[in-house]
Amino acid sequence: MNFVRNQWYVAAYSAQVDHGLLARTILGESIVLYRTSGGQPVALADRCVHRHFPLSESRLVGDTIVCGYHGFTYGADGRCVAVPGQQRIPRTARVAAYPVAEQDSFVWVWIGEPEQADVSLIPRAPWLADDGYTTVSGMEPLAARYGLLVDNLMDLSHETYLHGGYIGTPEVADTPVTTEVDEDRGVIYVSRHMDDAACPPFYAKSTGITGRIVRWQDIEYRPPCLYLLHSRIAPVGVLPGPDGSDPAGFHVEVVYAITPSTENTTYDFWAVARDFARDDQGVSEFLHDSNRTVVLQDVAALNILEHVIAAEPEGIQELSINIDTGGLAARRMLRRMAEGTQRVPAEVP
Amino acid sequence: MTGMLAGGMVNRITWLPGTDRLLGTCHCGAMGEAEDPVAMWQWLLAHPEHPGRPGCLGRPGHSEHPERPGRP
Repeated sequence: MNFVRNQWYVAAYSAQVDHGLLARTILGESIVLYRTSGGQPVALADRCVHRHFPLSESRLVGDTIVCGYHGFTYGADGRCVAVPGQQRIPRTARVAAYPVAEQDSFVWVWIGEPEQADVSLIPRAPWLADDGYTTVSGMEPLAARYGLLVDNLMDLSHETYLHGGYIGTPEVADTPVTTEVDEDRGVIYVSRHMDDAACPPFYAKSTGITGRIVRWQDIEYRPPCLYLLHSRIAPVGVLPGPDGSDPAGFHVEVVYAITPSTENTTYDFWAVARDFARDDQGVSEFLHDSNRTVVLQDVAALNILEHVIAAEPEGIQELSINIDTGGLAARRMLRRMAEGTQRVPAEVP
Repeated sequence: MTGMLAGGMVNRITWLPGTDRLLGTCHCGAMGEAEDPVAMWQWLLAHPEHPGRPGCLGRPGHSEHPERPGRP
């Protein structure tokens, strides 16, 4: 699987980009991020043109970066505005400026041909910046190729085994899924609806439900970067009304941004937005700590898997079963996007 | 959100309740069954030339497994 270029990727949470220098490597490209005094996020190539010293290890002076090695100074557009000891600034003295946008609490960076960057193509996760939801979030570095995280998230039956005692119960692995792929819009949807399931601690302690539950998990993956898990919890027998209203349901929107860093490292951004107990700080702390624990369980497993796979010959045979239906669809769509043979949606549906 | 996709180019695979079988529905309306998601996707993606009669996949042939996530 190759990197998918000409796409928007999450580089950071908006709150992480301030008037300081933040280094990221995205699809193998070294990038430095900061925010101007006017509030605009900036993403520049993180290498001085002179001797390639990292600008992220340099100084921000006003809205310019002064290289920490010899003082080459760059504006927010990447153009060099001062060089040491001489008046003439070489014509080629500029670093690449990446298209950048802020949406839904994320800073997105376009990796590819800048003229193709179109902010209308950024997929949405509106709950993260919605006053009707309370969100906890984090980012864990993963020492594994991004495709392993996609595999992991597209098949939630692993919750039963890897995350037992947190979010996994037997019903997750035992319940059949329905998978849909929209080729035109570039969306993969995996639906698992459990009508009578044990309530895992993650939801029992946050919702207060003590008995068995209706548990719906609807995955909506918008390759390559954005993964949404629409989760609905309610006491057994409590369903949305015929008009779609759902006052008795507890809704959790789990958002992942899967940003490849290098060929075998990945940024694993995660966020959990809920529409209940919104002002309860104890629930926020519990959900943050629990979800981070779950993410770190995935990280530990995928880091091990990366070591195993990296040592195996290419093309070794795997075995797929029904639970892998969505993951196989994701692999195919990512491969076609990397090859440039996947249809590209005209705009985010 | 609990709805499934509603576009005009949606392929669907449903795990038939109480069985290990999969039911594939192409965006063109053709339907077929298989026991293996690899074969099921290949049958769907063969559109418009789905192997076997429309509505009955019969016995899908052995399918090559797609590659695992490789190094970028």
